[in-house]
Amino acid sequence: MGSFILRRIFQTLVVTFILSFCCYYLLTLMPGDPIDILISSNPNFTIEDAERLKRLYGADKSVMERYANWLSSAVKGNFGYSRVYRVPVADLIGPRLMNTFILSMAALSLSLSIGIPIGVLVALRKGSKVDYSVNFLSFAGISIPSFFLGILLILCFSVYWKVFPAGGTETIDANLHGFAYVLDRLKYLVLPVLSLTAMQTAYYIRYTRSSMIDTMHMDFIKTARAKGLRNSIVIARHGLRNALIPVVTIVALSLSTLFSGAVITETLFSYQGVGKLVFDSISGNDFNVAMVSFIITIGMVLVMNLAADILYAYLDPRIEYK
Amino acid sequence: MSEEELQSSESQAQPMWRIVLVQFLEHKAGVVGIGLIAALALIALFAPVFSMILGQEPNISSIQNRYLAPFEKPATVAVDMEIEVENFIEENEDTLEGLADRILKSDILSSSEVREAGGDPEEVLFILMEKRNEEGVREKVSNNDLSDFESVIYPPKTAGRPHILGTDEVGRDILIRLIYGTRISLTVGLAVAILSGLIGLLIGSLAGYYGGVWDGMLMRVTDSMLALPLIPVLIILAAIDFNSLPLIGGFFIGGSSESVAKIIVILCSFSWMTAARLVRGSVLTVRNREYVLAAKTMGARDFRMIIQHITPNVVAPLLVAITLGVGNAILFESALSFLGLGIQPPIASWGNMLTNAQELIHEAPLLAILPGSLIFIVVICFNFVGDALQGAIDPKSIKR
Repeated sequence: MGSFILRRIFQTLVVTFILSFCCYYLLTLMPGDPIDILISSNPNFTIEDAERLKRLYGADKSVMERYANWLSSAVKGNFGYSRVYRVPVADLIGPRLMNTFILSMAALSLSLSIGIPIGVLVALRKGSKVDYSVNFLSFAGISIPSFFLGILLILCFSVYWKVFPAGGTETIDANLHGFAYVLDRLKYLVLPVLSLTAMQTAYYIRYTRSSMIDTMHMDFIKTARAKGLRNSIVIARHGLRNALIPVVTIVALSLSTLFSGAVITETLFSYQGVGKLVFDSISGNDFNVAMVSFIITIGMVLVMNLAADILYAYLDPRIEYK
Repeated sequence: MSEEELQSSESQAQPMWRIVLVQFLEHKAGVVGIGLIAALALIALFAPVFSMILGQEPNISSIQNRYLAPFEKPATVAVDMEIEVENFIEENEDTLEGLADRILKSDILSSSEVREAGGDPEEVLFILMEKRNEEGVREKVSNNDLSDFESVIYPPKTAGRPHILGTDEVGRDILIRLIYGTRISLTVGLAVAILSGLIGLLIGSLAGYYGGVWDGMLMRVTDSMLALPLIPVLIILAAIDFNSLPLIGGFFIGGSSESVAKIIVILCSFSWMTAARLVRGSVLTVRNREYVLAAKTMGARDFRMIIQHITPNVVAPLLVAITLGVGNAILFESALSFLGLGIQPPIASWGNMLTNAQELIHEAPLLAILPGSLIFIVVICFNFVGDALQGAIDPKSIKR
């Protein structure tokens, strides 16, 4: 078990390293060199100045050398400056990360608290009308593009009934404190969370349902019933507990989809999170920010996968690890 | 079904496809789904015919006719015509003198008007344009073999046809753009699903058949790629310039459909993993069956083994994966196009029709609802068909 965890951690580090290089290399292929942009914004630059600048920033070196430079300073905690926001990248990322974390966790907990109970319920009433309609709805949840759902939500709740703001993170210059601040943030969270939750909930319903149906056909359930246990205890203690094991891994893995979806949702609702930062920095040629926000996104997803593996090994001792 | 019928149907062996078909037809949502998809595919196939019938082109914009409501008649404005004539003059500079001569000789214009023009061929055309609605002028123009100029000053009636679903922010007909968008979305969806299914088949069967180091390596790569958050990765890939990539850069020769080819390549390279894992799993289960071992003993080569003995066993699950993959590919394509990184305008795709819709949500909510609903419907159809196929193919669910 210990060696398994160590090996997985090592593997995660290697994958992150490889990906960071791939990302660095791909970003150099983006149209629009940062120095060319700098020069084109100021007609007083001469070609000599440009050459000098390129030498100063090391843009004349090979990709490998530049990557090595970037990596050595990144390891020391220096991620460079943002070209667009003109602040150190580290200062920019912190609050953004927090915002994304709040958004994802809210969506995750909401979809879990809706998805699992409904999943269990329809599994117990397999083949009923409720089952069919929930099945249809979960298909709809999986198939609706998150940005379209977001647009529909804006159309309903910000244009038609002006209940929630159409976008943003908090009311600007409101200077709220304490409870009022939390309430304000919540108001801006509702729509993005809803649009992220739809797909997640649908997945949880489907997974919980099929896992629960499989479990309820197991022999130990029959044994429990034969012992004369009450139905609720059979379901809760014997059925649900076993059915939730695969669901737990799905939770950890679904953070990957949540982070993916967050890019679109945050961009749509102009919610100031890492996902929007990924998109903005790439479309705005903000090289340093793009690099860091991308690696953070990837890194968090990989760490969550690692956590899923370890958790699964812990929860289900039947699985062997070599 | 009576007892006898039951017995007779049991005694007769049914071919596999028959069983699958009967099972599939029992899944109502799947049947409806495949019907809708077929209808949309037909519409996409005959998009130019629709363009002719409706008298609309997907990329013709008209500033005067922005945000028209459904069925509203477009306004025809004189300024439009002047621009048209100017364009005509620019395009036909070399034949202009001849055309003006013909007009002057044809007694359409009176002598005072000829004097006014002062021999300037451009001026002649403009005078004729202003006179175009006077009595008898039209007949004279058509009698004098001025057909190329005639079509400019008497535009075909189709240009004034109503826009059935209205127009967008630059005055393009929404319906015909949706129809052409169906083409793009279905093409991208099918191409990505089929290509990535084939890539998955190749990688999965290599890993499953050879096992050992191959298996370890390929599956490690597959798992790592499966773990990536797709959208950020796709955004980076979509943002880079493919022409500057080594090796494959040479294949990307500009052109209007470059963005379509690019999106297919990008989506393919990140959607083969599910198929690969599925194929590997199926190969592993049949690899040590007797008939495979028998073929091996008879000296069959690896290639023949994979193609003839192992692949047929994975076709069914692969088909399900491909069907479900179409829906996913359409979702990702539209998401990227929505962000402005996918299919580039002027090519219409459902995703890029939504790009501006968000800002215009007050002026034109329909602009957002229509393409979005189409994406939703198509994706849910493919998911239902995939589900139905899965149920029909899965031997565990076969009831008879």
